[in-house]
Amino acid sequence: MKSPSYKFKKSKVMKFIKGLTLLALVLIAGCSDEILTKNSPNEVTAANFYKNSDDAVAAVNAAYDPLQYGGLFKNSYWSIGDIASDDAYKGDGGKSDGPAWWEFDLFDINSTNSLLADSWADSYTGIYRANIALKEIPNIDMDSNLQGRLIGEAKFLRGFYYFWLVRLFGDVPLITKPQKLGDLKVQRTAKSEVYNQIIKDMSEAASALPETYAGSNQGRITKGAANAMLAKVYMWQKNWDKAAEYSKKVIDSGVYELLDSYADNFKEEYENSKESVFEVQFMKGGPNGAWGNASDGTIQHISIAPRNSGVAGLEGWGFDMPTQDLVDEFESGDPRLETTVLMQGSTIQGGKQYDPAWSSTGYNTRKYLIKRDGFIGSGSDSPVNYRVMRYSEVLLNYAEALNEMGETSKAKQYVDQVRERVGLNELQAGLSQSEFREAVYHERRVELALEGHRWWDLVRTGRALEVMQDQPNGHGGQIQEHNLIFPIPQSEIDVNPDLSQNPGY
Amino acid sequence: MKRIKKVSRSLASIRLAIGMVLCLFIISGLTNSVNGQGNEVRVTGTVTDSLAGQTLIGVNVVVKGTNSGTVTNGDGEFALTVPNRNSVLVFSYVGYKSKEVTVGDKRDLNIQLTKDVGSLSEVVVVGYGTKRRADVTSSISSVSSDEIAEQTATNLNQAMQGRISGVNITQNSGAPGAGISVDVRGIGTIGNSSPLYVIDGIPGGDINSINPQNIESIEILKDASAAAIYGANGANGVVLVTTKGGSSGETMVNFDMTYGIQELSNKVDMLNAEQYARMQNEARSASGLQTYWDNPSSLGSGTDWQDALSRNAGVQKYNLSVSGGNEKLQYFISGGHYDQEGVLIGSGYNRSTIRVNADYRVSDFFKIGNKISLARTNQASIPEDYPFASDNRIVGALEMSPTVPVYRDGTFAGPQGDFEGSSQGPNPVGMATINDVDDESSNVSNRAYIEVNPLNNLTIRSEFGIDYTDGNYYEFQPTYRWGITSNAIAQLYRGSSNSFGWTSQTTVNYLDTFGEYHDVELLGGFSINESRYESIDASAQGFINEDVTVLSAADQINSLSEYAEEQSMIGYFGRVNYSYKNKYLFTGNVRVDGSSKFGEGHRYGTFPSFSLGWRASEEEFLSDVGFLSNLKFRFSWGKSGNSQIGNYNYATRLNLSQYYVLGGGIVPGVAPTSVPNEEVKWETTTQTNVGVDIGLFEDKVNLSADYYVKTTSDMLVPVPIPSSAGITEAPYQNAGKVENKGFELSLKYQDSVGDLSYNVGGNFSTAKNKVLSLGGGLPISSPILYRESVRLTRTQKGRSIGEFYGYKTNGLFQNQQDISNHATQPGAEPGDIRFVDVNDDGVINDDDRTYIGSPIPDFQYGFNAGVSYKNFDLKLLISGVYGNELMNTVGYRLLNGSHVGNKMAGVLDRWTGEGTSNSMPRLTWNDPNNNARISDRYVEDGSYLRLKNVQIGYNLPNSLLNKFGARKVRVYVSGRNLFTITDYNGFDPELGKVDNNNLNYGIDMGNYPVPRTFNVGLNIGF
Repeated sequence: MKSPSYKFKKSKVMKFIKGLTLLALVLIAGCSDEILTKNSPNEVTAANFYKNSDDAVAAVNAAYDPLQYGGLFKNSYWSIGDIASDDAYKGDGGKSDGPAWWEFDLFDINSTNSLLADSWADSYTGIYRANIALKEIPNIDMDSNLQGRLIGEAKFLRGFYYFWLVRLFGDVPLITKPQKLGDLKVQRTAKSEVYNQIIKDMSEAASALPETYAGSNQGRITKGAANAMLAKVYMWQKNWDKAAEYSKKVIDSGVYELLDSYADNFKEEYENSKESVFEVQFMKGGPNGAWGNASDGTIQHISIAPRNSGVAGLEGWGFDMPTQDLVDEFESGDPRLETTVLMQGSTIQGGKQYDPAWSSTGYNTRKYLIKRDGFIGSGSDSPVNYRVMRYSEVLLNYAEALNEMGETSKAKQYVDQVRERVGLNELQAGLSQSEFREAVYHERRVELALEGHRWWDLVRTGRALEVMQDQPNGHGGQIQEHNLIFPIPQSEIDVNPDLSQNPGY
Repeated sequence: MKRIKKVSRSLASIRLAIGMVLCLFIISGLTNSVNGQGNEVRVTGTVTDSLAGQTLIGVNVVVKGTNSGTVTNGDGEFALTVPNRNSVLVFSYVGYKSKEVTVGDKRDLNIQLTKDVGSLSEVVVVGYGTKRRADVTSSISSVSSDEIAEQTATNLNQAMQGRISGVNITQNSGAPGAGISVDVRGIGTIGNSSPLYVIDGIPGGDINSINPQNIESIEILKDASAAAIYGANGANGVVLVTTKGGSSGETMVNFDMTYGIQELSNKVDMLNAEQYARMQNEARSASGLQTYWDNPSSLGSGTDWQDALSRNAGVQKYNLSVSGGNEKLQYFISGGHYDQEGVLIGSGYNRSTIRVNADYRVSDFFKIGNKISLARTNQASIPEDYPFASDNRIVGALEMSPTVPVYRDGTFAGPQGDFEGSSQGPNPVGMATINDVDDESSNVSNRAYIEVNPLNNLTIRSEFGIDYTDGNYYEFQPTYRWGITSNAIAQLYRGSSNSFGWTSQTTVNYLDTFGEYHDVELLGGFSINESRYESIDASAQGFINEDVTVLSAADQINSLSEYAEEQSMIGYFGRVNYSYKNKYLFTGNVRVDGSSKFGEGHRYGTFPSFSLGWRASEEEFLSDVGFLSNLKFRFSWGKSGNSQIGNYNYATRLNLSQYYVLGGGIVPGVAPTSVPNEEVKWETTTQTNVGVDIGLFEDKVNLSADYYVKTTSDMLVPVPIPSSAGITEAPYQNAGKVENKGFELSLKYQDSVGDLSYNVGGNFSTAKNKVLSLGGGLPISSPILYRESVRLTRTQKGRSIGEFYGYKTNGLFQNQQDISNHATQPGAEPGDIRFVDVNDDGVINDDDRTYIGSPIPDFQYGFNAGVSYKNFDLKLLISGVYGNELMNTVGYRLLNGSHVGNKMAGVLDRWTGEGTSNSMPRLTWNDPNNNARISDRYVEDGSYLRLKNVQIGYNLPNSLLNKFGARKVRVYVSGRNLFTITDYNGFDPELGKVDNNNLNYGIDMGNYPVPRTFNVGLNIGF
């Protein structure tokens, strides 16, 4: 028995040594700190980016992206602009079906309204991305023409997002540099200061941007877009001289003209046309799906298509429902009514007839519907671009500004251009300044109907309270003075108590 | 078609499991036969229980000082040859005191073992080792395999529920296969407070793939001293799961089957069709709108959608295991299948598992072993946990108008217009039937070890674990047209994911006794872990033939995305155990951990701890106190860490898919979508624990009491950031401090009188939660839940985590005078809710919101009892919580006139004129007063007491068993969730966390109710 025991011990020692060696090996492997350094496989780190012109372009593209978000042109822009006004009701489905839209219809607007919360968040996303681009691009060694153009685009976008915010909320935090985690809590800045920044950004953009783009760059901000938007900002300031000056620049550029057919403005086939001054781009089937901010299509079609049609390709929620009041505004024989509103007698998909029973007003919104017959695809992912600024608006802006400057007779031809295109008579000659003003207001309402302009025109021209109070209760009649600006989202105040709420909310 | 496929697939997996087990059974027979040894003295005998007298099966009989031994057979008999007459036999059996007998002249031994009621000799699994219960100085709770077997539990966490003091376990949903929230000693952090799971010694792994019947024991390390050896992520407690192993001796075969029927345990009281129409008319009239229904009384009672969506659903479970071995090889092999239909149409869950655990002693100083588990789960689910009827079948069934029939014209019926609540979504029964959601997961988990004993008291152990999970998601939404609701284009969502993790750990353990009284154990080790997760998701639409639902058959691919993440961790740890005279006990731990989740300079954290114990009952001055069998005082202090946050928080990352469209095509946009927090570091929990263990009357009575104070500092919180930052994803920050204090008590009593033996046990625990500070000083609001832009909870210094936040109500305005006397409340009319002007500024607005309830219970409790008489036994388990509030957001939808869908029957008691009601407001379509806003109306008492489990069993007598040659045959009936006592108005008061977020705890989003189940079962052993 002794000898095996001795062997046993010997092999035991051997194994022990082997065991220790194994242990040591694993320990050495384990000591390596490299294993603790992990980079995200999905994303690029800041240190490896903003190095060349491709990076610069991608940074600016990201600042365009929020234009497609719910808080801008996918949803809020036209929802608020139309439903808050006398042009449209929220539509059927009761208060719990889209309470945020409903609140604008009722003028019972709460600080929890999701259209407002989205508008706030999405605009600031755009501003943040423009701020990053403006910080990083000047440091990139690249073609200086392209560099200047990209900076111009970013400035315009920043100004544009602020213009949306300042009209919705009044004073808003003015942030012009990317923030760090420690300094995210900011206070509101006076509206006038925000406007100064908008004008500065848009002016600088206008001088840096080209008149047109070719091919794959189509859809970027042009000089004309910057000038036209700047004119509009000046109109909000009642700075008529400047509004006229910048509108005139657009007209004189020779880049833009009215399309022969008014209806073509809202079709997919006529995107980025010669009438379109600023257009937000959408397409269906983008890589981020059919729903949500990340999607590259718009939900406008499914939102406005009749609720109960049962017609393939024309089914939706029936929101943004045109009012009788709007329909009555059109002069008889104005072909724009047929383009704007689905009504008794409208021919729809597949040659079928629209049935007024699909809507409680008897009307549905027609602009921006996907029009192709036999359309198949998710209505939530509509490819139709949003025309933010059409040349006809530039003409009307110029006419309005000239009239306010006392140059009524000079202004007339620009309104007439808009009327002639749709086969209507010229305005009567010799209108007084105030008569002409009413004529421009009327022309704006019908020319730009259901394109998200009406509420803002009412507010800008000081008519919102008077006009809306005449609306039925439940559709704006209970408007109060404080409703001319909207509540700061409560979810925002909850995390940043330095923000004050607007009075009345 | 799909259903049939699934059934045949599960049949195949049963066959496979049975086949495999049988195969191994044969192999094990072979290993048994190579067991012979030379013989000098042959002894035989029988082992019985000292009290009840029944024979004990599977008792280990070992010749002391050798490795030779056997186990008792089905009749409690053993036969063994021993070297000589002086040999000592050691009889040991789980739950009994070991006994040593010298063979002497006896050749036929009758051995009686005494139940070790105090289980002081019970071995407890601790981090990186085991310990006798008597030596434990920290706070550790255990659940044994017997206790698991009593329950017909679906998963690990269900098996623990109600058993353990200080551990709050709530099912997030009653849906088959749904997740569970586990909080050890209160909610330790606003971030992720889930405990660390350690499966067979390796942290991590998929707990859902574990078959509860394969579990030998579950230990919960509650205090810092116990958990600190897992420093990293030990802060929220550690759950150690140990699966069964074999033991040397006769091969044992066990077969279990259970069949059960489940039913909906509760229904929400809703309006019938006639009442619905009347209430809707009233609401519309109140807002000056045309009414929808001319003749409500003609509608009758209509459809009960809860009945329509629910069913009596079957649940079945099969398990076959074989275990055994000899001195060299021990094995445990098991195959199991579990199949549960959901009580709501369209839901179900099944799981097939195979496990092979084996240990092989190569030589006296060298041992290897491996545990491998293969599991496949398949969950068919219906959408829940979402506040909108169109996206939540449960809310859908509540809100669907009772005027709509389930079927019409040979297909599902749908609402025919707004008046039938078309905006509330389509027919929920139809949706649950035609929409198909299958979430499959396949899991391989392997644990291998090598153990070397170069010296008798030195053990080196290297372990290597891998966990691989492969996920496969399929969701198809076919086209339909029911009434005016329709889906014109079929949608398909597919996801494929996998996660792979490996862990390597090595420990060196040295054990020695110095002098007569000093016992020392030293442990040192390190561990390294790395894991990667990746997924590919796609969605598509439009299918020519809806029987062929593959991506390649779709008209259009809508989205395609890939995602991946990686993480790693390194840990070094050491432990000293010292005991003097077995009376004075000390344990010290330290662990240093590094995590890839933090940036350079913040990666490492150090977590020390110690504990002290005094076994006073071993002192001479207490030796006269006859009734006192055990008295131990415990004290512990320690720090442990938590790093359960997303990866890459510290890095500035740019997202590449912020696309825009230019020139008619997609162009890439690159921007940060998160704010980096470069300074983010470990969250640290410091815990102090004092405890006492008392055993009385030979440990017939056992009592444990603990008091702890647990403070979490540098709490990892995704502090919501203003969206003016341009980013909505909040980064984790080390913001604030939370304290949990609590008292825990558990009590066991067991005794027997003649053939009757019985035991009762109970546990009680409190956890008082208080936020001591918050980083910026600002309250933290909960994330917005889906589309309602409302934050339901708020967390503020001086209060507990996640308290509900909203308006306070004070009855209803009875008349115009009431309104004028009250603070300005825009839109109010008689019959509307009077909201309290909390800040007393004369106006009711958002500034009047305040704290209106807490989801954290004052205390929780469990009670269990067992009685056995001869061959019959009865076991029951009750659990409950007290003093918590729940936010019934379903009520937010179902109690208001502005809501188009059906309403709760409570609205029948609405205000209809002065003095008619002071709680249920008038019904109004436009709701100008915003009665619907989040207020204490929806906050309800969440206390409940639930009979979790009852089981009555019968064991066939030995006389009968011998005829079959069986070792054991047991039949039983059991019931789960037989009754619940509660005042809560929703489906079920047991509510976990939405998205596993502590800020969204106790919120009823329309959760799948926990069903009531009746089971019959059979258990056969050979």
